[in-house]
Amino acid sequence: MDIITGLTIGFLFGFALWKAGALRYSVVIGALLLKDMRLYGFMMTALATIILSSALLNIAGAGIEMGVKPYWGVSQIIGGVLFGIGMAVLGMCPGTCMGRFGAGKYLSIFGILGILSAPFITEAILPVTQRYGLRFERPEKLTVYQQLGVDYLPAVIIFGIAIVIFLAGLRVMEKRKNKQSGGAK
Amino acid sequence: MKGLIKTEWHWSLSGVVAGIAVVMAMLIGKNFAIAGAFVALVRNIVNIVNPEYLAGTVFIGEVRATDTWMIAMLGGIFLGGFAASRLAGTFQLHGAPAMWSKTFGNSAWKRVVTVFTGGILLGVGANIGSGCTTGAFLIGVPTLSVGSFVTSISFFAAAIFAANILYAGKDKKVENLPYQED
Repeated sequence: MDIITGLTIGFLFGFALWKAGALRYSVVIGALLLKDMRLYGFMMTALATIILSSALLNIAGAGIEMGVKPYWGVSQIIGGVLFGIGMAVLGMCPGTCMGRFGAGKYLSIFGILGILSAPFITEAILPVTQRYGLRFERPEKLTVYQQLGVDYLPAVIIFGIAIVIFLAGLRVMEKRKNKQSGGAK
Repeated sequence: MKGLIKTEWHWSLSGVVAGIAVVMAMLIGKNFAIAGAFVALVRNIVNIVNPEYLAGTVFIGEVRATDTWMIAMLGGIFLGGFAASRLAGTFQLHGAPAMWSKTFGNSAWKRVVTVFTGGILLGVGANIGSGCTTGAFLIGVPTLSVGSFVTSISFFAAAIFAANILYAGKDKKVENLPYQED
């Protein structure tokens, strides 16, 4: 059963990645060069869909477990920066690397091999980051809503609505730009 | 309908579909974390080749019950990319992206080394940064976890900065590039 649901859900996500243009190098680089905003629209729409539908489903009693990822300290910024450089160098993230390989861009296999080699390097790096105090031994479960002193559900719904407003703004900007360039799309 | 199969979609539609896929995973209690799925794959390969190695690891860890689902999900993404490009009629085996070759030269080896190095950076970054574009951004941010915000902001900022350095002084035209070579 796990294999069937995993394949199906992965398939739907991979299909959507292609349809979003996220499997194209120029689209990813265009987004990072801030020349093509469609990927930000795609990612923020996906984020808003996840936030609002999980909140609504939970209000309806679906009981989705919203576990909190712990905060590990400065190592998390170091990791994020390395990941970001990797994303710019490749023009891919791990998911799009897999999707691109499926779409026939065969050199992506070397990206997959790189990602698969990484955990062995991480094994060597993690103890070093801990030794220098860059990574907590016991991570903290910090959340934005606790910091603000509010409950999860109202906070996340407001956040979701804020993203929808951002997306509406992006759409208006996009329409204005298309009108100016006289393009059909 | 034919248009939906043959062409790319507006971001509002593709974003909703990608979001639904992640919510489906949440509904059945699965963790849609792609970098995490790659680690699951490594763990299971090592478990076949050299199971003793896993006992001494601090990060990779022992085989988990959730690994099968995650590895299947990776396979699904591969098939999704394949099916979408086949149905659109743009599937073609192709090496380096045209924009990359135009900017950095035609050497296949250069691209192979770049892609492999970039893959390592992505993997190590996601491993020590606790997540990738799905694990930290799409799954972590909705929990309003501080850590996921820190990781996501770090990688988007670094990626934008790095891309602008890489393409400084180069041709940045990104429109109308041939799909098959992109």
